[in-house]
Amino acid sequence: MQPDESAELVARCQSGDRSAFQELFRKHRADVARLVQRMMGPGADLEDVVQEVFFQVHRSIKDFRSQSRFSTWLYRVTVNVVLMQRRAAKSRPVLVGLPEGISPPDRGPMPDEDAARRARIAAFARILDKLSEKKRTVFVLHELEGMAATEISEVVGAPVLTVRTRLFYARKELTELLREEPTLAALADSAEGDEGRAEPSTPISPEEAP
Amino acid sequence: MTEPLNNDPLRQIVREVREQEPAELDWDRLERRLMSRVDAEEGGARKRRWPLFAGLAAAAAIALGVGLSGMGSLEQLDSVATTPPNVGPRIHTGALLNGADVAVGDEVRALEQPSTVQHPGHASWTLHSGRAIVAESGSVITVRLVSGSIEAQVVPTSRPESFAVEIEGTRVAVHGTSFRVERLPEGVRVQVREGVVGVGPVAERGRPAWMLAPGDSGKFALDGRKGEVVRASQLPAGATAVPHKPSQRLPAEPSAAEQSKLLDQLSAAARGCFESNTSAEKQVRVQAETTLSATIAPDGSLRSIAFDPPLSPAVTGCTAGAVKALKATPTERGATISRSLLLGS
Repeated sequence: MQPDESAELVARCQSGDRSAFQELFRKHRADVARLVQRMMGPGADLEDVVQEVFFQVHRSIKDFRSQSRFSTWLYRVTVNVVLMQRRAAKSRPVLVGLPEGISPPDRGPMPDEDAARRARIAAFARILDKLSEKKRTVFVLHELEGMAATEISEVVGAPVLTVRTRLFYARKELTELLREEPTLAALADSAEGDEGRAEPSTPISPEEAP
Repeated sequence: MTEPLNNDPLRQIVREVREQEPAELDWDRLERRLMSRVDAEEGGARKRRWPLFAGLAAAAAIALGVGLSGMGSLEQLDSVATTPPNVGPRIHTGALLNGADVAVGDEVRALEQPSTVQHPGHASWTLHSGRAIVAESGSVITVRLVSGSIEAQVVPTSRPESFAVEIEGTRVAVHGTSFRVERLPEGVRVQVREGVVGVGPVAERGRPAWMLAPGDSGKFALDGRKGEVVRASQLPAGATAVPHKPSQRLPAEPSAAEQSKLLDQLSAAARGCFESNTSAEKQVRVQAETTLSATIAPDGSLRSIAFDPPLSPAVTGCTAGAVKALKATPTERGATISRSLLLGS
């Protein structure tokens, strides 16, 4: 996120200025949506979650103190809302019937590079989902959002050393999970320089298996 | 411990995720809905700051309430009466309303003619002879019925309880169906035409105490904790379902033996679908450890299945398709059953 240029807007919001809150929303909505998408993966109801984040921001902005940057505080609210949504989603069953977007197995030509990349990203979202909430959160904030460990420690409310430890184990676990995910296993194998293996074929996701 | 990613495969996929285009959202709609919620909350806060004005409005509301049956609580009348114009909740009347124009906190009134609110692609609900307040909007719509009755048609969706009607402490939540909810002087009547409807206390959202199937009807207390249901299967042929004491009691839930048999069938389907939808290179064995849960509706049909942790959409969809014809004995409450599985072994 940008350096903290929101101080004036925040002060106006705290005094009840409705238009200032709208400005704050427009300024930070894309960043919040990106973080929500990366933390929740595909299939999440982004609009609902982003709306909930900013609604909570409105409710609790009077409690924001300027000791930390507004963006750090906003990330903290976002992470908390996402974690609550994920917990709530886990208690809801999945209905019968084919989920939306599922098509019959493709028996046609191999997917092009764009489709292959989308399949890899979807596969990565699946294995990311297998991490614990704490490890997944620090991994997303550090590796995908580019936040420093010190700032992450403010967001998640844990010591910096704890953040670093979780990050270490998150990477380790993801590297192992990469090998077990058919769509991504080819990446792991080609990195190891497996001798005797032919040129790696384009990964096929389980959905596209004939 | 925080060295940059040196593992090429992980670095490559992280780079691809970072470069991924963000999802397109309808920002204008999102902002409208957000500000409606903000305004509704601020409208409530403003009400608490105007005690004198609220007192005068309450007196007017009492006078208005005399002679009208089934009116809502004075607190709800108050919340509309004390809101200053152009700020906070609005009142909508008219035969046909666009759901996008009815924000959270707004009231719909149908005192002289029915009023239909349409949410394209989601639901359509018609208010008869009464008042209703929109409590939640977006992918989940919740309407608070103050008086009168609501008929609703809801598009089936993968999101459970996508549409709900709340009457004081009772919540009637929809799982893709057509149904009618009526507020009575001392309770709530629910009649289901199609699909499945859950009824229970508002405080226990997502965990309804009763599930009503097509043809079922029921009468429930305003706190959502007591009720009587008449099942369509209990009525003589040609009879109309009316809320009265059921003549025959069903078992509360499927027997242990039946649950075990269902789980065997579900597990077999999951195994088959996992094998046929999981590809791997030679000398690589893919396994998955997961818990399979299934919800059985009171009419014995399979309402939903879920894997925790989730499996791929292909495996989940294949399993759902393979088991959707499964049927158990009808029961009072239905059941949720589960079993841990090791797939691919």
